[in-house]
Amino acid sequence: MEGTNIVITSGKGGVGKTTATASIGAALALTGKKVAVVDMDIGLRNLDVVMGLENRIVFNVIDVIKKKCKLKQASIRDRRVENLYLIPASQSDNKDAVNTQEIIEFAKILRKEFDISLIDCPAGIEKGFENSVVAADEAIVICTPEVSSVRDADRVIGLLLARSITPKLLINRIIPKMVARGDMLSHEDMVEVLSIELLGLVEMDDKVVVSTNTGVPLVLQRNSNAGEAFHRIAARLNGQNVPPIQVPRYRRGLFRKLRSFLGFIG
Amino acid sequence: MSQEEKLNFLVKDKKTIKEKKSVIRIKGSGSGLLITADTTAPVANLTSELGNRLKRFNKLDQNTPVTLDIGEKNKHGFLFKTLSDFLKKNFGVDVDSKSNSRQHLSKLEDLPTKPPKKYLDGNLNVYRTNAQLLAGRVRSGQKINTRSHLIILGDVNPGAEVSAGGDVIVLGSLRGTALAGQQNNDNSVIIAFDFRPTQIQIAGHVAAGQNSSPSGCIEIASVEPEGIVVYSYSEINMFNKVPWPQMR
Repeated sequence: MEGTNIVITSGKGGVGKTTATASIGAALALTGKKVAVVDMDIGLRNLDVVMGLENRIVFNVIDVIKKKCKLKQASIRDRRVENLYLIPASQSDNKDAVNTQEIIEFAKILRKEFDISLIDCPAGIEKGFENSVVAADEAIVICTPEVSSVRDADRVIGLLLARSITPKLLINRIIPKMVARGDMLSHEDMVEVLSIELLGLVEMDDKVVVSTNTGVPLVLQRNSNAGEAFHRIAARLNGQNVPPIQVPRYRRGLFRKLRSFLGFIG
Repeated sequence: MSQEEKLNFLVKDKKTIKEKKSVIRIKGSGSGLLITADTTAPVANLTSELGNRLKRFNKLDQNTPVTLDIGEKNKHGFLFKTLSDFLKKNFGVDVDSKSNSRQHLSKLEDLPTKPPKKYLDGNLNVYRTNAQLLAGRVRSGQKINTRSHLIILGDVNPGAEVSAGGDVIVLGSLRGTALAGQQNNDNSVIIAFDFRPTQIQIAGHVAAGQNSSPSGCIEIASVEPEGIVVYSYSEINMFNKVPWPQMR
């Protein structure tokens, strides 16, 4: 059976595309699928750093596209997560180094080799975005609860719909405390504006920074709310054993204090 | 000279050039004709020109509605009578007059007190519409431009722009930029179920939207002497003052 190519995009930079790609990729691989994460941010590669694999890069995605090497030579196997492969971006090339036809060929090879390929798209809607989207069958749009991010995501959704790809929405970096206070956009408001299928909600988590710096996949970390959210998102993408979308809730300090106090007496 | 004034100036200039060519202008309007006459020209000139021009319309129906535009009717009552008699006698058409200044709907005293003949039986049959009807969500970065009225069945997201020559009606949430009455139609209005635009423009007037929560009612923006004003649609009841249904 042919695999699926899923592009992960957002329009705006710094909303967590790369982290999400690495985490969803690892979570999907843990379910037994053969997964490739492809870094299409040519010239500014960093998916390899997030996954802690930068010291093992020999060939990159440009080499595969230009047929300088085989796909297998360029895919780096993750040692901690079975079935997870990274195809790194080139750091020295330019985004104009490849053309659309070559990418379409490359997408065909990816579908043959892997069950699911996650394509990490660069920020912006220029050539890099075009190149990433041309290879994709499905799309995930990442959006943070900020007005600027929603605006860019809306634009990107419009562009994807114009290419007859119906994207799904992943809302990242929710701070439940601020949502409860009314200082942050709630996910209901965002879905109302963007009006696409919601794939999952990921809350702000300090462990993401730790994971990015150490190169340990977020989904392997214990007690990480974001990691668990990415597990559920991967399950939903897989279409099996779909748990309902969990809304991150803020537990009030006073209530918790009261509960622990009562527990102490009891 | 502001940009708007410049534009007005240009338009005026064009008009005078056109009118120099001929004392009579004939335009199709709906199912009838709109005839504009130069009041400064001699009457004999006007009638002969009219006769020559209308001869070419050899299939002119009996009772074709013809609107005669000669500026203010009161001022040129004699001219109107001469021309309409001439038209009725020679071509058997149904003549009506039109004033140059467009009527503002919110001014009740300006409205004509007698309905046009075609409404007298109480039925209004409209076969052609001057409105663009679109369904779907207008997203950020998308732009819709029409010279007629624009009706959108859906939302207009922030970052999107909808522009119309006439009215803009959004049956949904308006959060982007809406432009009505482009370029020069002060009578246009903007209506939305959920009125929270980034910015609105009607003709040359610009108003910035405020970050407000939804008001929960349909709102309408129109041009008043003091600028663009937004009313609750049900409270202002703007169009209830119109005595019979009129084409916009």
